Amino acid sequence: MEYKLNSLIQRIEDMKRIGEAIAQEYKEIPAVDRNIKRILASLRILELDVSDLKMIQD
Amino acid sequence: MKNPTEEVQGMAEDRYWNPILERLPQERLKELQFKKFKRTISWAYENSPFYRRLYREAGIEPGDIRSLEDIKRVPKIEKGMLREVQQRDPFPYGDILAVPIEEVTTFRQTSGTTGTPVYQAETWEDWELWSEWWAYILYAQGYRKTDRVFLPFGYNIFVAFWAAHYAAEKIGCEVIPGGVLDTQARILKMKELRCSAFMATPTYVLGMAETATKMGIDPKEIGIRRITCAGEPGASIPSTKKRIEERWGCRVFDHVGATEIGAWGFECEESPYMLHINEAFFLVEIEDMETGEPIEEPNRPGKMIITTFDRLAKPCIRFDSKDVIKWADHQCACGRSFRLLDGGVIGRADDITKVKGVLLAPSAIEEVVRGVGELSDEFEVIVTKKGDIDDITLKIEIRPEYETKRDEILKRLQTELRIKTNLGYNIEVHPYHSLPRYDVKAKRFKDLRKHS
Repeated sequence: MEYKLNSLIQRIEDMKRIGEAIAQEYKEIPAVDRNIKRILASLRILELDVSDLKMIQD
Repeated sequence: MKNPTEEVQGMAEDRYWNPILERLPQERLKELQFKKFKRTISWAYENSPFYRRLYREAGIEPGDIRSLEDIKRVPKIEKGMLREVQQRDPFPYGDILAVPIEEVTTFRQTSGTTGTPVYQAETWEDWELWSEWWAYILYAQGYRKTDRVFLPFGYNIFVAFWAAHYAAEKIGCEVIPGGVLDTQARILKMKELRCSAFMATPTYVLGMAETATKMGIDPKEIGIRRITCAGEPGASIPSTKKRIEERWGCRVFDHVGATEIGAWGFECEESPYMLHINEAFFLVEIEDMETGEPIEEPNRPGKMIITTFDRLAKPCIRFDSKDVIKWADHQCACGRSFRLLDGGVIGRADDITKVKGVLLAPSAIEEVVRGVGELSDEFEVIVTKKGDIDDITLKIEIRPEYETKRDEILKRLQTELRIKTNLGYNIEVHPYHSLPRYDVKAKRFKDLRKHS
């Protein structure tokens, strides 16, 4: 099975960008800020692995 | 098990937690490791005063690392340094800390088996890594969302199975925390809820089987399908693994990890007694114990130097773990490209000791004792000096039903020990169930020579 890394990276980047924007906009509300940051912490693992893979494939 | 009919389908369809990383060819994996190493050392150099000081004193900067070969120039760290740095600010971790203290969200500490405990700081991101490492382990050992997993451990300051709990949840298993329950209550709860898997040290897994039997419950009736062991090498010692599998009637898997490092290796379903290194997250080097020369060839034991990638709060770079390991001479049939270690962690460089001039690893004695079916699970080894001569005593228990065969059992044990360890032992037979029992890590090897 071929994995579409470019598409996966793009989608992760989109999610990260949206998450960071929400965290910034609502940083005064701890429930929003911390929950979004927690999601970003999970995304970081995928983002690091996938972007590294992309680099070595290119 | 939540839904037994789902398991077979799940097992056949998916084998890997991350099929991209787990099947990456070795040469690509090495490129990936190099990139991650560069990023990790740069992070440490920029953010951790301890690492910056260490590297400046050695005249090295992250920019000097241009190939995997250059990594060998990076100074190693060891546990003593981690203890020493704790004397510095910020309290209680010291200036190895690479994030502001307010970013630390979890405290753990080492068990202190070999000295003062080392304190471990984790950020949210670090803790996500922990559960991710464990997800690879559990998935490779067949855990799926159909499993009901029991965790019979103390949920305390030690890292133990905390990350296993979160990883099992992440996979989709139903997790039952068996925290403050005693052993009998844990067995009853596992039976009542028809649990399909659990995790503990090999010592405790055997102890639970013994307790269940005393309660009139055959452990096999509980319906456990897989057990994951940690904390001691037992599940990679053939005779101990066999004992556990026979008692519980299920597969037993090993995993290796450490508080300062992370969960770095695991046994899969295809290669018993072998451990995959999770090479997507860890870089393992093996060094000759005397010369420090790198070992690349299979079947030659050496000590492990390990780096954890992308850990933020307390980076772990070229840590001399003292674990003795050796490369296997083949790739695993499971399809993972992660390299295998033959026999798991064979011992510890600081455990291997000379007795009567012979190098002795405590795990070799365990393998022999656990291979004699008429003996109980417990034993103790005591090394002393009589005058100038080393003296080694092995305390064992014979199962009551085999007492009449005592002479034959002792003769066989003495012969097997001689073959395996090249040493003669004073063997003391103690009444059944009189030697100490342990709930977590056992202390069965006692070298009293320095004190006698």
